[in-house]
Amino acid sequence: MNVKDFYKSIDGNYEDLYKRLSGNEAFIYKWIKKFGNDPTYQSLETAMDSNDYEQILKAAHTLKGVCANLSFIKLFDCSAELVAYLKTAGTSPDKEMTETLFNSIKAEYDKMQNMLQELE
Amino acid sequence: MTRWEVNSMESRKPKVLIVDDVELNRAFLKDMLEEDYEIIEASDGVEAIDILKKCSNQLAVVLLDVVMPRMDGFEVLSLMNRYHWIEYIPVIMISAENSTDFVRSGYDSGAVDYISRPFDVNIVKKRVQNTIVLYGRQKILQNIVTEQVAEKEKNNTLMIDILSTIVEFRNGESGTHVLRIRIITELLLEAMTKKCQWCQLNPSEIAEISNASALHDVGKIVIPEEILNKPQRLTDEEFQIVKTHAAKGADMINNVHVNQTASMIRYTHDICRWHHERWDGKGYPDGLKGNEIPISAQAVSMADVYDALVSKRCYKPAYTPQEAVEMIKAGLCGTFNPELVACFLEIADTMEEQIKLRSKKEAQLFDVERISRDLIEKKGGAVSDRAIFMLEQERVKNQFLVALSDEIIFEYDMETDILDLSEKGAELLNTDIMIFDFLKSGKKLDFIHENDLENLILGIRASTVEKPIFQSQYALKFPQEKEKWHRFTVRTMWSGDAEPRRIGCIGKVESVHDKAVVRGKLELAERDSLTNLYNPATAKNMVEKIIEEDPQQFGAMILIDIDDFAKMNQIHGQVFADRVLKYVAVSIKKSIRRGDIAAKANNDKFMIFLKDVKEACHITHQVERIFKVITEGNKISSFTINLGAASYPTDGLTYEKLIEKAETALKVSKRTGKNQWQLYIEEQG
Repeated sequence: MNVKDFYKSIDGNYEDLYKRLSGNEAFIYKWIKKFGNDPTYQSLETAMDSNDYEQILKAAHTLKGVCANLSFIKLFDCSAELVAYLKTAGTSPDKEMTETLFNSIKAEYDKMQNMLQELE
Repeated sequence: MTRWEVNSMESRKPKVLIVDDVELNRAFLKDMLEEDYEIIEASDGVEAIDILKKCSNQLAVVLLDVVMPRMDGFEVLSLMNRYHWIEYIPVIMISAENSTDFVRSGYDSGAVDYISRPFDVNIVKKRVQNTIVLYGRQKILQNIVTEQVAEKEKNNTLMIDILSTIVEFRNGESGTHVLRIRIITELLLEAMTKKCQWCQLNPSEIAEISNASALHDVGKIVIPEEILNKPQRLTDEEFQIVKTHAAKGADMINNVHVNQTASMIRYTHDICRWHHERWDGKGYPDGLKGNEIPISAQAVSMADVYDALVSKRCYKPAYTPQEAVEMIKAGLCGTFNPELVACFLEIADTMEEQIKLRSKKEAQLFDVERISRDLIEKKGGAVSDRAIFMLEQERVKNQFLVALSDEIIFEYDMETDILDLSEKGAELLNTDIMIFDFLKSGKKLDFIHENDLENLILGIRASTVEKPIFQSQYALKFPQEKEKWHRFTVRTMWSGDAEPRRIGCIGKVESVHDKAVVRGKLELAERDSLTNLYNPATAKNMVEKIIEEDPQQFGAMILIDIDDFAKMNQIHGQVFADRVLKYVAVSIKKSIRRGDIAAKANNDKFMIFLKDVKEACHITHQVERIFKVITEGNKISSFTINLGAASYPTDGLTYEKLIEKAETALKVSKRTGKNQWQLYIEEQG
């Protein structure tokens, strides 16, 4: 699978990224590979396990930023939703709601990790 | 030496510091900028500050993320303000969201621009490039504007001075009147601002008012010279004419064809019109009352009165400053705002001195030669560049030596309240290389005792410019290790002002624990030098500790006195007396158990504390035994002793009580005869 197909499979916007990088494909490939090893998602998972909402918000916020830079639109939307929810929920977020939102991030992230394996 | 420092030796590209906790985010920016810039990375605010401290003057721009652990972007900005780095290093904030609040607070804290995610390579490159170029240009522009404004300001006051001097001249007053009024007004307004909540003027407002004060009598231009300079008393009619100068001066200012909204013009108008009003409403031309009179006019009015009193006029002699102050205080020269009078009296003592001082400064302000010299030097640039280069060299050298050293080296800066430690030092003490809010937070430090730290700070505070170095020894605590003695050598740093202020200190901490010399010294402090027994203070602490730790046990306080020691000293000499002391000390040591405490009290007295005696009745045995060891083993036959003892807890619960009771027992023993011993019993007291 090439980079373009990879973007299609994960609902990303390859064209947008291509434009922002003035067509530098070498960067794109390097960054996507790097994303596979980025610890942000793991820190989000850890924060979920310990119900540490402050850390969840921070990690989701970071993930959102990273996804924006890579034009991972779907994963960006999912993390943005979690960030937005936690910001409005204030000090006492609903556990179930947080989990639901996290699960959609998790689904997208897992899918992406699988696809990364197939990226040449 | 860290990675980037090595790199920095080779590259000539402008340096960009990227501060972001997420490695991937740094990688994005690094990839985009690497071609044109040398990239330095910091993974949080603390690291960023550390890098800035080391090479702030080499950085072309800082890209700063906001949300970071340990220290966030706004905290970095506030420290950059405190260190004044923000004045020459532009900061571009990185924002994940374009919330205006966020961007606004970034700008408020001194950031010059922001880049939002997702990054666009061309935008990022352009922003960084523009910032670097514009910042350089802006600096140059700033300097030019500052110079031109200074020049214009100079011309402004110059014209005022010429004009007002002409007025003065015509009034037959000395030319210094204007200058003096200006300075007195300035002094009064400064004092008012300091003293009164309602009168808050900033320095530039005060400068404007005092400059405007020079024109207070400009209206006198239209008063006939014969009246102005008439040595005799004016007729009522003439006086009415003179009084018109206030309103006429104000009218002239109103008709001046310049920007009427300029605050300088408003001040001048107010001063001209109302500098003869009185607090009680009996002044002219409008009979304003109290604070209806603008503070500018109030101040000039008082300055005018004072200066008129101390100057010679055609109709009166000059009073001394003291006389003038008394007259104003007594209300002989009009009524004034009581608060203003209070301020006047406060500054009256130093007024003439201040006028002299500030007149000199004033003269310097118009020293064209000096100004042009300054400008040439500033424009030349070569001098300051060279200075910066040399400073940079010194910094590199210093940093290198600190890195090589195995000692703990520290630096404290008062303005920022930050304690810096050498890398090695931070590692040894298991702490950060920078400790923020060091004094303010009053944070407990793990590696030094609180009272030691207090003493250290007191020592540093007691240092002076002449004697800036302070040395002392304290125990330092290391993780998983015993405390060790260290010598602190600290040098206080002073500002270069006329009145130097303490601005911080640098210091070195070295271990002295293993050095025999010092061990000797430490022991010396605790022990008597002749007998090698403890000194009284140490013994007291130890006894109190024993009692505190186990109040239940039995113990005994024993005092031993050598009979007629003073006489012995006289007859046989000090060498002999010392031998006796040594002998008694050795005997005591032989007779006591480990854990018992023996001390040399004053000249001929010894103290022993027996701890942990099994039962009360054993105390007698123990005391008798010790007495026998000393007396029966006596090889120096020509001395005798007396011994008194008190038991713990029966006779007393504190060190002092026990000593007191043992003293009583000793006295009883002495009454019985030589070579006696006595336990304390109730009836003795």
